[in-house]
Amino acid sequence: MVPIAEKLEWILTTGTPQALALSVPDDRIEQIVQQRMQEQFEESKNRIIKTATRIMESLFGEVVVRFNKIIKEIDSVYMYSSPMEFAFCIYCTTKKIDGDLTLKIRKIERELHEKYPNVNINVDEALVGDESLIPSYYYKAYPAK
Amino acid sequence: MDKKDHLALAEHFEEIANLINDNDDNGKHIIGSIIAHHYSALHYIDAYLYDVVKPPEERCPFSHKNDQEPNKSRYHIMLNNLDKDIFDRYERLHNYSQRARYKKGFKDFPPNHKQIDPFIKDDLKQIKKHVLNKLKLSK
Repeated sequence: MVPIAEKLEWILTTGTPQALALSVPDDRIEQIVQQRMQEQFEESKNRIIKTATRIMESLFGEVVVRFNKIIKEIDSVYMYSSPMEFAFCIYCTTKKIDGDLTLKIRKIERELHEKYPNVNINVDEALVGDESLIPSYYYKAYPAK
Repeated sequence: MDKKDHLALAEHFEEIANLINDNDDNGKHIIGSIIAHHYSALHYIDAYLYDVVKPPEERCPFSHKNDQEPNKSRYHIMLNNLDKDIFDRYERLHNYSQRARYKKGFKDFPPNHKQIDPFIKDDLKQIKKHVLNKLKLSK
């Protein structure tokens, strides 16, 4: 006998609450319940991954469009995305410090954040020569290898 | 800390920024200048946010950017309450301050102080003007 609930309180419409202990006669039922739960969990996980991946693809498209507008002022762009963490990170390197360009980059980060408020978006900058600052798990998106 | 405390600190760091600028020797102290400009701007912003979100007085309730708890995230609160241009300017100051302290800015920035000086000064000026105007304390 497999207990499936220690105690349930069944409150009658008239009368006092009744305590019940429920059991099932075969542990196969527990296996089936666990299997179904696992299947549902896997299905939900896969749906979340698919949805997150679509969001990241859409975000990637936005990043490309926005960075293309300032690409002449940028030396290279590195990216990292993690759909399961809902994280999208960008590192761009520039040959020199330019106040207008840095303001444009902050604007891009803000606009991406406004459009994808639930994604953790970070845009970092570094000067050419400081590529050691960029974590090794970022990949070089521009110029393409 | 209340709004007046934040304004007093904002002015304090602004004075430090001006002192550094007046005595800077060819960009030698640009790191200190960036940090002073950033902290002045931060306290101007917090003076305004104090009015908007009424945080507890005992401690700073904000982290800079917290996607999990947007109601405690200065980034998210600023995004909802400041003009976009002012938001971008604060983010630029914050970014340069972070780079100065935690990345290679302390090496890269002194030779580039002529490019950096004008925009950090202008960012603080615009942020201060915006906040004081919002607080109806225009000077």
